[in-house]
Amino acid sequence: MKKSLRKNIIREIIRTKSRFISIMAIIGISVGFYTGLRSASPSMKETARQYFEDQRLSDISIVSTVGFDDDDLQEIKHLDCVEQVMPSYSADLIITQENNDSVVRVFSLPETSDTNSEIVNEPVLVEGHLPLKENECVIEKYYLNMSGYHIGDTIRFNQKTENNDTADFIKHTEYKIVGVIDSPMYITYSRGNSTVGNGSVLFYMMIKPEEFSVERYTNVYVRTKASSSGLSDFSEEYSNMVNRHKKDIEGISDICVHRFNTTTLADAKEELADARKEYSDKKTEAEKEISDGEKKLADGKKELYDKVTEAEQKLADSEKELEDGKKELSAAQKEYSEKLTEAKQKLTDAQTQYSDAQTQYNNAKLEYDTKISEAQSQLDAARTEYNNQYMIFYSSTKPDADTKLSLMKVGIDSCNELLNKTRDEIEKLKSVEILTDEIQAKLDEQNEKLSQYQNQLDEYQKQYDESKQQLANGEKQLAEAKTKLDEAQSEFETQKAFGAAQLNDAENLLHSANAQLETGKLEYESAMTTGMMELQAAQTKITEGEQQIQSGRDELEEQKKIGFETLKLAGEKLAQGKYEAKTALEEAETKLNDAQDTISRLENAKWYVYDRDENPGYSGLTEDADRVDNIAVVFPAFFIIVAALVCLTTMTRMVEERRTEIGTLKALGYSDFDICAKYFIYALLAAVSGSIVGGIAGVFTLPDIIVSTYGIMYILPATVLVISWQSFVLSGTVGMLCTCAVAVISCLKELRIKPATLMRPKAPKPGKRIFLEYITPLWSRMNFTSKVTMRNLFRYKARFLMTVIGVAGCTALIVAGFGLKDSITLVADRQFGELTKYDQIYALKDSEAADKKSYLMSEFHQDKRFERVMLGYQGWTDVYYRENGKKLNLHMIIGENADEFEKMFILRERTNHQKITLNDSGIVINERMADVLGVKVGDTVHMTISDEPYECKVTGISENYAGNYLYMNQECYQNTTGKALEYNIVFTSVDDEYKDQQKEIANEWMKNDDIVTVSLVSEQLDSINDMLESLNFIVFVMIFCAGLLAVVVLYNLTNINIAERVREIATIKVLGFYHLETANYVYRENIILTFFGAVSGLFLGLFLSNFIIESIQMDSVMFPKVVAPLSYVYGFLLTFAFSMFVNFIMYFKMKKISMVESLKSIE
Amino acid sequence: MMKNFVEFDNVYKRYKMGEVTITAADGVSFSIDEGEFAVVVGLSGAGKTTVLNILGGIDSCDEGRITVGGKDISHLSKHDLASYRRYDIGFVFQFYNLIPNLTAKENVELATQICRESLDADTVLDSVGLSERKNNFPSQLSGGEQQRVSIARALAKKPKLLLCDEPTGALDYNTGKTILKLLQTKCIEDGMTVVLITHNQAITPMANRVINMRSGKVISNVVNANPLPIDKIEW
Repeated sequence: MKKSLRKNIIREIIRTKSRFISIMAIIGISVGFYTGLRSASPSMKETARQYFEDQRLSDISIVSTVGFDDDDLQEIKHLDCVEQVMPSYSADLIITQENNDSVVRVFSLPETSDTNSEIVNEPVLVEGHLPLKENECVIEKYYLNMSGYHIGDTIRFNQKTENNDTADFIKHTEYKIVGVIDSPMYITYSRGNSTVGNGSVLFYMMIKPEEFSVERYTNVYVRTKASSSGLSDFSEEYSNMVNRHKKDIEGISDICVHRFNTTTLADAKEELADARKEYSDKKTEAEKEISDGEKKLADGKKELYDKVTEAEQKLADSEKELEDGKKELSAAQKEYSEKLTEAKQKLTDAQTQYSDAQTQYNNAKLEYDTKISEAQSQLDAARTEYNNQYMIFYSSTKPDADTKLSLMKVGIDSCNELLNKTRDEIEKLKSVEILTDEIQAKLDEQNEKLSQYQNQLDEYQKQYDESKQQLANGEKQLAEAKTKLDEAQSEFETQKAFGAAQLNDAENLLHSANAQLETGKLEYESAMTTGMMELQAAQTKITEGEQQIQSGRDELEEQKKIGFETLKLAGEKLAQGKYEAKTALEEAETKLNDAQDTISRLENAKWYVYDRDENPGYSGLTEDADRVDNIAVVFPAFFIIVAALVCLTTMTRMVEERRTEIGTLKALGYSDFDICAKYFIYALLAAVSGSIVGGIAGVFTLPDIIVSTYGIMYILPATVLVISWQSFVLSGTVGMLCTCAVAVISCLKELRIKPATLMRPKAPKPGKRIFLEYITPLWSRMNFTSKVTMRNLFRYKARFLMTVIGVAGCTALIVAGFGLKDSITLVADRQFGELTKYDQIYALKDSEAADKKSYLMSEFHQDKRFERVMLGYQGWTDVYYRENGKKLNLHMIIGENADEFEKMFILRERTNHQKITLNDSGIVINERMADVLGVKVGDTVHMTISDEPYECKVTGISENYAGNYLYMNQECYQNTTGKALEYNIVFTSVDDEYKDQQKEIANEWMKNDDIVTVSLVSEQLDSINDMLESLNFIVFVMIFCAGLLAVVVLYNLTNINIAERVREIATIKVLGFYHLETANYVYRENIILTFFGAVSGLFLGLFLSNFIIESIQMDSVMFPKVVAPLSYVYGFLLTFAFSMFVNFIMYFKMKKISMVESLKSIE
Repeated sequence: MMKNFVEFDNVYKRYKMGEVTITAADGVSFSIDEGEFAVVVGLSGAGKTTVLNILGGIDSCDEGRITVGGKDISHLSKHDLASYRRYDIGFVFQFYNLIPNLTAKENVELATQICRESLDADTVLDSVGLSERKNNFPSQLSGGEQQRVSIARALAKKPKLLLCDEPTGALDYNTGKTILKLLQTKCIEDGMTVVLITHNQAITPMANRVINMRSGKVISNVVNANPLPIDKIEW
């Protein structure tokens, strides 16, 4: 190459170092990302492969229902395909820790029979030493770290494992931990299932083979030609070859089984037949003895009962008599009391009458006395009055009246004298015969005086008569009063005497009545006393009778007791004898049954030949590695497409910029080849150096990150890096093609033009009206810079498209990354938030009877901390649809109560959330499982339940994200298997109030002997989250790389944009635009382009996300195809943030554009 | 009319090209009065573009002092220089430097939209005789027409100073003449101070002032009392 050309290339690179570096970076990131991710899967597989090879992991493991003997081993060894055979022992035993029964898988330490071959399945000794002595063991590292056991501690097995003695399997029950190992047989943390205990193995350990007390080998591990053929353990060829070898071994199994049946089994059968005969003889004998004893006992019992009955009859008779006497007595008592009452009544009446009479008498006497005394006092008063009157009359009135009378007599006499004198005069006068007037007047006067004296005399006479009369009246009155008084006195005396006589009579009557009453009383009392005494005598008699009966009865009781005790003793003796006989017989029977069981187990001897796919870790690793590879194909491939587009734009632009130079060189006579070489070499250098730098960076970071992320789930040695050269070359080539080919093609395109034209500056692309201008209302409203921006946008359509696609790609990658994260997060949210509504699973002891379970359930129901409790069944079952199709091992769940089941297991269709109800005719399986198996509703699947094959119709496919489940109801189970279902699980949901105490509740319940284990849904959630976390990490790597790509792409595109428009920018700067205004002039376009890119990237992101999710689906986990709204926001905002970041960097670059330089001339 | 409207006082400008230092302006001193049509003439590399660039505020001097209209522009910040270019200077380039994506009118508007007091784009385009081509894109215009758009864009800003860097350099004789005539007319009629750079000694008679440069130095600064109209000049 010409020296000047070489210099030109170097100068070009230095001059345009940012472009060179950005091409390098874009290619580097893409190649690194692609190669790195693609190397992860092979690295994972190679790490495992080397580990398997170093530890000589067996290709095939064989287990038999009857074990193996040395003859079997010889048969296997003689097969052509077999390289190495290692017999081994294993047993699942139970240890109890903190009330929790756990299953431990005990292996015999791998050993070789011949010294020149290596050990198959050799464990890696991590610490300590391998067992040297009989009771030493090594245990796995993972469990040792988790459990807090240390070297030197002792593992203690329970004496019994289910119904078998631990001693039947191994010689000791205590083993001292002397070392820590990792076995290549276990590369995940899943320890598999067991047929004993709670069904899941907690950890494994190894002891010396001599420690096993079983006669026949339990496992045989085989290494075949497949692993020594140099084929990759994960290749199709390998698995085909192993499948052929499997068939070979299965072929000889029939021979071995037949030999077993004819020798060992036949002997055992013969022995059993003998034992059975002996047993039945003994049984008959024992039964006869028992029945004799029983008869005797029955006779004794009868006799005793007869005697007792007789005695009791007698007693009852006496009792009846007594009862009669009692009745009589009570009748007499009644009569007595009636009569007594009557007499008493009479007495009382008499008494009442008497006291009435007495009262009457008293009243009369009182009245009489009162009246007498009243009359006496009246009489006395009358006498006193009379006496007074008498005294007054005779002492004063009569003398006074006599005096007056005498005085009046004097008066009368004087009057009479006067009268007489007067008459005399009158007469004298009358006598005078010449009555003169004087004599007449004197006569008249004397007449007058005479009448006066006459009157006076009359008056006096009258008064005197009257007074004489009065006095006589007074005297008469007094005499009358005296008579009356005397009469009254005599009357009174008569009355008084009469009253007194009457009273006397009454008193006499009273006295006689009283005497009668007293007599009545006395009579009554004596009658009462007599009756009472009679009654008492009768009572005494009755009491005596009762006492007699009681003592009779007591005696009977005593006799009875003695009789029964004797009887009981006899019965007990008999029972004991019976029990002893029964126990002995039972024991014998158990032994016989055991022997029978053993024989029936031995009878259908079968070999199971497994390849490595049966090992969950092995197949899981393959799946995980493939999943990583799937992401590694889709995601970076998209990445490379974006990068390629950007490189394409960049190189085209670069050649266009160098148009004048190309023309000049051509004019100077350089060949097309030389001219092209510059751009080709430039591109090649960028692509190759980018690929190398990126490739190295990618290969040394990504596989390690991913493998170690997955390493959390696997027990593997340090990562072995396997570089996917194929991917490196592929991606590098794509990068180179996009740059070099584009460089050459655009260069050749320019070269077709005449040099003269080339040297003239290429006319800038003419301005054009854009369609927006024809929409006048819109265009006229836009401001000037917007118009310019719009014109610019539409002027460079190619760049517009490139930028939009580039940005869209980055946004899509970011959205897809976040979408993947959403999907992963949703697995747990949907599963444990919406679908799984139970919190705890209690595993019950298998052997418990049904009534015990219902009692336990009632206890569960009583615990108020549970919101719901349901008895159920949970077991493992293998399901496949097509004969050679995929086979899934999954949980079969059956609930006892359909209502509770519906509340704890939400079965619904994913798309429309329609409820799915279990019915009797079919099963419901989850969506992921249906997808993997290729099953639709209405199809019939094959199931293996307890090693028996069945078929069942699928009636529903339910939404489910984590794990695979098969649901059916009890009737369906019975219809399908024809067996009764034995519930073994209690599902509970804890009340909201106690949600945070789940562990405590579980621990409390674990103390119940009927509960074997508890598993918490929350712990399941944790482990699923751990697994998803690994995927999440890869998502972050993706988002990071997508961001990186976004920055580079945007930088590059902005860089091109600015480079193309340096003159324009310089011009407007000269016009006086400030920095910010200048930047805006350019950025406005950038922002719009980024916006369009980001928006279309959101749609693209959804597709990309769905595409990636589709390709990473696992067998046991379904990822929902969901991109959360926030992820779009993130994708959009991050793209803008990157764009802003790039613009920020570009701002300084734009500031540096020199006006002077760019105005000099047109380049 | 201001005397010494533009004044260069002992201005130096040195470019470092690796180890070589080129002194593009070697103690340049001159002055131009307001309203003058000044022509800076000299051979290639005489430093005339450097002087123009410094005067236009798109380059800075290392030493010396430049005043325009009494304002010292030699020590302005980048932002102030941008303002200076925006409000005080109109630039006419040899290669027109039109934005290809904008029509003639829009190119003028590009300048007017950032000025406080600007002329109407249509008016200016009319005054340079481009009434008919306002809505054409630069690629649809001839070189002379493009240069007229460029002049219109400079004038529309109503600058204090119109700087022209070989405006006829890329044009044919007649077109060049019309452009020069346009510039002379603007100077005479509008009183615009014009500084024009050329290597063509023949057009110096049209100027009021002729500054002759060689090797970064001013070798003469002659005032022409009677400038000839461009039509009278032949070369």
